[in-house]
Parts: sequence; structure tokens; C-alpha cells
Amino acid sequence: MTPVIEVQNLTKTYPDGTQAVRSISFHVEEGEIFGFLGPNGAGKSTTIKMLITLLRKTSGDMRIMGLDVDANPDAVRRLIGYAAQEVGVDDDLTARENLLLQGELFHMDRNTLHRRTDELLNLMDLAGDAHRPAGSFSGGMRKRLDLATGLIHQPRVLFLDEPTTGLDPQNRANLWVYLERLNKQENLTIFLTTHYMEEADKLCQRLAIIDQGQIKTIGSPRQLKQEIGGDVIILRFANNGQSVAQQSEQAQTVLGDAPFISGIDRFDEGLNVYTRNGGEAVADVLRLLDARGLRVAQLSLSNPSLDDVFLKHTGSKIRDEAPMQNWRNVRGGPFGRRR
Amino acid sequence: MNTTTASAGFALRRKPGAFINETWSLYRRAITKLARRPVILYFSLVQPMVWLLLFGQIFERIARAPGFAEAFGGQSYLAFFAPAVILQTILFGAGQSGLGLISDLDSGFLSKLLTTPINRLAILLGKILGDMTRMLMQAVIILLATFLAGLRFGDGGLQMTITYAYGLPGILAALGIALLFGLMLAGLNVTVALTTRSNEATFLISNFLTLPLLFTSSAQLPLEFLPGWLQAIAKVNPLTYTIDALRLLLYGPSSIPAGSNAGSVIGSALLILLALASIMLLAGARSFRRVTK
Ligand SMILES: Nc1ncnc2c1ncn2[C@@H]1O[C@H](COP(=O)(O)OP(=O)(O)O)[C@@H](O)[C@H]1O
Ligand SMILES: [Mg+2]
Repeated sequence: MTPVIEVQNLTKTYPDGTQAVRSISFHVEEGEIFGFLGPNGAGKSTTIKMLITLLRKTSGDMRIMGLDVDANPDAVRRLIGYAAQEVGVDDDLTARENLLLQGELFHMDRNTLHRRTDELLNLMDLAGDAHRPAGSFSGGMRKRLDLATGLIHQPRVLFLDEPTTGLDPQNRANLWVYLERLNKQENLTIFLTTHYMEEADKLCQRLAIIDQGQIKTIGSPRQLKQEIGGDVIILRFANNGQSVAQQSEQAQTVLGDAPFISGIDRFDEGLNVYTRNGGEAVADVLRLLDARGLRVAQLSLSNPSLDDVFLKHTGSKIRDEAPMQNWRNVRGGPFGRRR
Repeated sequence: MNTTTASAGFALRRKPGAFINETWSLYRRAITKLARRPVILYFSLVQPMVWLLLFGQIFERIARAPGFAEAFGGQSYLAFFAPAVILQTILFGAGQSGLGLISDLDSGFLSKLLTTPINRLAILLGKILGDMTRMLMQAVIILLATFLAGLRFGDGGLQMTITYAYGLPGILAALGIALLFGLMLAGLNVTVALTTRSNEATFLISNFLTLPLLFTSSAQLPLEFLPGWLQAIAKVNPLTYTIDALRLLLYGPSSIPAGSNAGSVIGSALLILLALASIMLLAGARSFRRVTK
């Protein structure tokens, strides 16, 4: 069967020379929730914007349900739904009016449109508030309305750019429930981007780790974590006359020879040490370091997380990334900040 | 399964009326927004309304003084000034056209529209038609206020002091010219908004334009009362031509400068406004296309 999304060697270089996406390839099967996990500036939004016809690619091949995206933009627009990181609803219109407007723009016939509107209001638990202006909604409700407007025309695949960024943890977990419901009840294929490890882990059947415009690895969260194998001992060092980097480097040399250690990755504050049985290895690790006079400031032992997978493939922890300045603010015109 | 568009149940070809339906949907949205936030309608009315009533009183005597009455077409100053106030309202209000687009751009609403298979220009057209409706309502409010302020109690009860030379057709034609003026400004404002993408810039530019344009035109006084240098500027100010055309259509030939011919007043106003509106709209459409692709 044809995959819902097929991407081959997709590349985007912005006019200013920024190589936002560098020859990425992946495919998404029908009914899958597929995620792009990566830090700010990784190229997630750029990829999504090309797929939803809002941005021209530099080169490569993109197909949605077998259709070349660039050659058939209008046909593709009928197959896809989109919800951006910003909530794209009209605050002056009621929830129902927002949905009806969006449906009219797809030229849906009246009966179908009204039936679908009711269906989505129910599905998103907004039926009781359908007549209220979206501006009076809570953050979680606006987000759900935004999702619903993207689904009015019964798309085959839904694109979500950072769907839960800006939501509090409770609303985030809440939205996951809705997304899973959509995925199951409507057999909806979902492509989402996120920089939340937990979100990717919880929601995605498969995910790609993207960093600096490149896909580093693709697999199910389980597969990716299993590739690391065993347990992870996370060692953090503190400045104590010797820099953290120096201590990490020495520790890496010391531990590198130990037979019970299967791998080591470095990050800014310390090391990830991989081993088959963490419980037994901890004591040995500490003894080895102690013998060289290296003091561990903080130690934790855990199963591998996507954070560790990310470190392994990119050489940095996703949380280490300082939040990048949003380019749109920079381009906000002669008067600086907008809004 | 055959996974081409046919399987999605949509016709690939656009229906002939599609563009009109899309524009209509977006126009309805604009009107609904206006109805929910009428402050946008009143906001740009406040200052012009104060001007109308204040200046209407202050200069009333002058307009009646011997020698002057002729130049004001035998009308009250209030009536003479009203067309200028209509354009002032439109000038103030035009800033809103751009602000609406910027807020759609920032909120992500525009992105959402752009992922629907609609004609891009329907977005712009729906927006501009909504703005024109607002301007039309504002112009009608000013005309009504002028009419009401011109009513006097006399021997025979309530009397009109303002006479509309061509009645309703003249008033409608005047509104048409005012709208053409509004169309030009909406085009200008959309261009500014999409180029700067800044609320502040858009707001400032529309406000900076208003007063200088008004003061260097025949808005307050007939041209012949202005100092020579100002007359020279007023003669290249499109506002002068627009205001003269409005006065002519509302109050008849006696309200325009002596010696000018009615046909050429209307003709030159139409020509100038049509040319400027086309240029501004093309510029607006161009910057819109740049933003949306
Ligand atoms: N319009 C643009 N012009 C130039 N550079 C851009 C533009 N949009 C994004 N970028 C740059 O491209 C890179 C990827 O951005 P983006 O796709 O927004 O990343 P993400 O969504 O993963 O945070 C970043 O370095 C960003 O600064
Ligand atoms: Mg992004």
C-alpha cells in the first residue's frame, strides 16, 4: 500500500542561506502517529510547512497519498488538516462559526458541513460552548477548537506543529487523549512535531529524531531505547577547581576501559554511561572514579529515555538547547517586536 | 486501493462560482467581526464627529457673511465641511484594514486559510469589501449627523437648512466617490501592513497621513481663501478633487469654485481616484502574494 506521506531527500535552504532542512527522507503509514522530535531550530516547522503547501521546497520529493505536493497543491490541501503552534481560530467568532467558515472554504455541502460540525464539537467536548466566542475559551479549549477546524473536511492526515507547546501539563495530557481518540475513531494519520520527549514517547508509534536539519534516526520509541540496551547511569560533575569538561573527559577515559560498560556519551554537565545491569555497576563506577580522585556531584540510574537516545544520536541533550530566538520576532519590521 | 484524489471524493476542477463563494464567506466573517466589535466602527468616528460639530459652530458666521456665502455655495459651514469630515473618517479608519491583516498573520489564522484550497485573492477581497462596508456605514453616519445638526425650529416647525441639490441619487453618487477614496486607502494600508508587518507602523502611517492631507486641501476653506503656496499644494492633493466632487454631488454647482465645470470636477475626481485605487490595490495584491508564498 502507498504510504500516506513519502518524503525523499527533501531540502530547504532559505533565501538568506540558512540550510533549515538537509536532505531528509521518511515515510508515514496510514493510521500512524508519527513524530518529529527535535530542539528549537531543528527544522521541524520548515518541514511541516513544505508538506502542507505553505512553503516551497528547494529540492527533493514529497508525496501525500501518492500525490506530488508541489504539482497538486489544491488536491493535497483537501487531503490534509493543519494546526499550527499558534492557535489559528478567530476569537470574535463562536466555535461553531469558526468551524462553519472553515468548512465553507472547502466548499462542503450544507448538510455534510453541519453534521460534521456537530460531530467535531462533540468529539472535542465543545458542544456545550459552541455558541461562545473563541476568545472567551481557555487555552485548552481554543487548542481543541483549532484542531477541530483543521479536521472539518475529514482530512486523511493531520499535521500538528508543536501541538502542546504553551499548554500547562494538565492540558497537555488532556490533548493527548483527544489526539489518541482521533487516531483511533477516525483512523486518522497524524504527523506531529514536538520538543517534548514525553510527548513523543507517549503518543508516537514511530518517530524521527531531527537535529540541525537532518534526521538522525527513525524508529518506535521502544526500538530506539532498546538500541541503547540495558540501563543508563547519568553522572553529573560540578566545578571544583577542575572544570566540568575536564572531569567528564577524565571520567570517560577511566570508564572507557571497564568491561561492564557498553558505551559512554558526553553532554554539557557530565556523562551517560550505558551498562547491562545498572544496579551492580554503580558501585564499580564510583570506585573507579574515586581511585582517580574524581568526585561525582550527582548520580542517577534509569532505563534509557528518549533523552538518552537523543544524546546518543546528536551529541547533546535536548534540554541543553538554549531556547533559540524566534526568527519571526527578529523580522518584526522596523519597530521591532510585534503585537 | 487507488490513492489518487478521486478516492478522496473531491472534484479536482474548481467550480465557476467558487471564487465568489469564498469571497462571500470571508466577507461575512469580516461583517460578523465588525458587529461583535462595533468599537472599531465608532473609534474612528469620534474625532471627526467632534470636528464636524465644533467647526460647524465656529465658522458658521463666516459662511453667512456677505461675500463669503457665495463661496460656500449658500450652504451652512456645517454642510460645506461635512464631505471633508467623511474623508477624514475614512482616512482614520483605513488603518484598521491593515491592522486586521496583521492580526490574522500573527494569530496563525491566515496560515489556516492558506491550507484551504481557496483562491488567495478571495482572502484579500473579502477583507477589503468588509472594510468598505465599514467605511460606508461611517460615511452614512456623518451624513445623517450633518442632516440632523442642520435641522432648525422655525415658524413652520422643523426645517431643513441643508438642501441636497440632486436628492438621493446625488447622495448615493457622493457615497460612491467616498468609497472609491476608501478603496484607494485600503489598498495603501494593506500594502503598508504587509510590508512592515508591524501594528505600530501601520497605525502611525495612517494617522500621520490624515491631518497633513486634510489641511493642504479644500477641506476647511474654498481654495480661493487659501494662501497662494497652499493653493498650489492643494491643487495636487487628491483630497481636494474628491471633496469638490462630493460637494458638487451633494449641494450642486454653486458649491464648487466659480468657473469650474461640473463635468470636469467629477471626471477628474473619478480619474484620479480610479488610477490611484488601481495602483494601491495592485501593490496590495503584490505584497499579499509575497507574504502568502
Ligand atoms: N523564513 C526564514 N528565513 C530564514 N531562516 C529561517 C526562516 N524560518 C526558519 N529559519 C531558520 O531555519 C531553521 C529551522 O527553523 P524551524 O524549521 O522553524 O525549526 P523548528 O520548527 O524545529 O524550531 C532555524 O535555524 C531558523 O532560524
Ligand atoms: Mg517550530
